[in-house]
Amino acid sequence: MKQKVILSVPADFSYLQTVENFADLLFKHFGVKFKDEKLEQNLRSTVNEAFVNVLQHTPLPQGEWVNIIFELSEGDFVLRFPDQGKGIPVQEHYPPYPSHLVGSKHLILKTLDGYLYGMVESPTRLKLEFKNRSGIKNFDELLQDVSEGGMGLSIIVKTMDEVRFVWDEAHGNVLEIKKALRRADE
Amino acid sequence: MPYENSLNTNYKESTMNFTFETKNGVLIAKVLPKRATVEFSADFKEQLLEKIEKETARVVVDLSNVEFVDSSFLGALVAGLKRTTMKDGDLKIVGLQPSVRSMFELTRLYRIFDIFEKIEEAIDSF
Repeated sequence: MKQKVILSVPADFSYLQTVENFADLLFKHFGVKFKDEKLEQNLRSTVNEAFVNVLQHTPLPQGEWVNIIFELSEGDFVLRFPDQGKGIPVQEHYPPYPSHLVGSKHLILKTLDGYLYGMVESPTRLKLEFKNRSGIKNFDELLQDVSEGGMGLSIIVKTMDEVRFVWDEAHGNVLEIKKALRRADE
Repeated sequence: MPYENSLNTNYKESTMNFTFETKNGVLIAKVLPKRATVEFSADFKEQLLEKIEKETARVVVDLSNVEFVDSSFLGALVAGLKRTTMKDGDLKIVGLQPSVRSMFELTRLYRIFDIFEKIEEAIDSF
């Protein structure tokens, strides 16, 4: 049976830990089994990074609310974070992407250990993929590559199963995160 | 106070979330809460960079209290490391709890930071 919960919170960093704690409680309410402490931590990190992403990187007037949609069905957990941004640009195109871009893959950002790509699945769906960097670099080269920002999305992509930006006219740009989970009653 | 003039602990400044002190010419930044996140990372970064600029580029960040860290705070540490290396110094990390260590592993930041168990080891490594 599909279960769905929508959380609306003010767009304010002071709610960050409350959002994380709510998500943690909800995972347990849904019967998510945290056999692995890392999974619990990764879900908390994902909620943190996605919430901060909405507040930091998308236009959101002061006093606006952030909606977070939690869904559980068939053992898949789905988190959705709608925002007011235009989405990720691909070759200077914002979603909906032109049809000639469908099927193409584009570099979104570089991190210390790899590259975050966006695969255009359809005019309204951009799937994020992380590819580890090959080759050994020295300290100076690594330091040159690492940046202060951009780690948040890569953390989400590395720890969750599927991450994509989905665009539709009704909701705008939505960060959609999927993770296959084991239930407590399994 | 310039680090060249400090032989032992010479001062301590405190905010709600972190403290700075110098020991043997090394700036020690201690994070106090269990969570090191975007909620104070910008403030931490600003004060850290100012101290690196005005006092010393030899820095140890003590994370022994911290149980949860996010990318925003990790970004502040990266900014500190970049600034110290520009000034021929270094920024070293002390006291990673397992959950925080796993974030350093996930982001591969352990490849650019020297990580120690104890503050004394980190200070002696300069």
